[in-house]
Amino acid sequence: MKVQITIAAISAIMIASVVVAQRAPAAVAIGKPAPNFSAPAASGKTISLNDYKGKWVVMEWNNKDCPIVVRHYNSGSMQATQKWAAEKGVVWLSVCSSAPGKQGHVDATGANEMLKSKGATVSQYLLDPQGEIGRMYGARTTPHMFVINPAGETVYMGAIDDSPNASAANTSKARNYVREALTLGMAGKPVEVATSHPYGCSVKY
Amino acid sequence: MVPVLALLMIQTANTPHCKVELIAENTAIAPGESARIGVRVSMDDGWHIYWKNPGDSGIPTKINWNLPKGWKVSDMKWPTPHAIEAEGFTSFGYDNSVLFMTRIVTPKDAKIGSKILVSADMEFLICKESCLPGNAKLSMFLNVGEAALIKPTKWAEEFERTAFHLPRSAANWKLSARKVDSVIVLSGQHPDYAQIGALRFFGEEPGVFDTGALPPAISRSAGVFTLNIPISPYASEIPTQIKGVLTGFGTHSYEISVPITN
Repeated sequence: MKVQITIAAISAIMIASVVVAQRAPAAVAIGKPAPNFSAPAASGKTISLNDYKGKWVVMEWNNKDCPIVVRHYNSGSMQATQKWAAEKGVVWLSVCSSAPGKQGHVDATGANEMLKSKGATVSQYLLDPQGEIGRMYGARTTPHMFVINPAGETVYMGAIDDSPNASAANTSKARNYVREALTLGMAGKPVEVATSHPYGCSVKY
Repeated sequence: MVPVLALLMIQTANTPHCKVELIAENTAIAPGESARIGVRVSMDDGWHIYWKNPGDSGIPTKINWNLPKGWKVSDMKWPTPHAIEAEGFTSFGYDNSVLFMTRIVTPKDAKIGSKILVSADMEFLICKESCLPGNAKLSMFLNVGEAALIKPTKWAEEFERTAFHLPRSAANWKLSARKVDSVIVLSGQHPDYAQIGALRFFGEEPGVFDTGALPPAISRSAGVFTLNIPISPYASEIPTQIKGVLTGFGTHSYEISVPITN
């Protein structure tokens, strides 16, 4: 009995100082405004998130050589999602936060070649070699996906789908969280799965 | 047929930056008894593969076992993972070498002198700075033999060592867990408080709990500890139980599974 009381007392102390262990959280949270950025794109333009107010925006962290990214592009599932989204007027921003010399790093030419060879449909491919946008969004993996609504709020963040496999090619049966978030969001419905655990290679900051 | 089968059998695979082997603890298996088999992965310096919850990045290592009809393997035992820190993020996995063991039970009516084919299909992601896909399809024959004649293989010691370091039960720790805002406050009693060192919690399910290092346990009387374990911002729902492995309590790691109250 004495011990029980002690545990309760300690817990009470802990409640008062519960902030301790949380690591620096990224600025992105569901229902909160997605942080604005300005970055060079492979198109040669400078892109700001604020340019797309009033539109649905998808952000996709990319590392063209990451096996999980390769799986999603070689199976065609990422391009299919991009095409599907583009037909609905969704802005698709791929971001490469790989530092120079690290896996998946590309310059504008490299990015454009990759997009062409993969048949990707992206609105812009952002070059983030310093990892500024990556850290701002707390991007952990490639892929790591964010869906932003026309009001500029994040409505989904996490994995591309529910199938965290290294190289198995079957992506057709997976539950695609990005399509789902866009479909529900555009229909004015709440996004059922607003967060999921992103899987893939670590972002090569 | 036998020579053809032998050609197709691969018991050791060299994949980029690691070697994967299908191994057995003993030279044979006896009818009605159980024996340990496993997949051993030895990695190049600095390379790692992932636990069932890979942490902030990575992919869970997957092993599928195939045995003849009527034969079964028990749940694979995941060795205690390490925290792998990079760029402010933490992954959970293994480096150097790791043995994923499982137990196989030989049917009582298995014929002495017969052999069975055991296969393991493994798929994983291996990373250092870059990441590469890994997969191996391994198989070996296991002889069914008389119990008295069975001897340990050269791997027996490694099976023993791996078993010794598997997470242990924390059933008598009087654990309780409460949710306070976005943090789970886990309290309990450890039999030897002096042994509590740098603590870490490895949540079993990906994306439910934060992966960071834990603050020191706070104690007001010998044996009692309290930990704050933040819920991950990626958790898709509020957890109703806290399940995973705690390390930092002396030499061993401990499995916990505690319902969360509000």
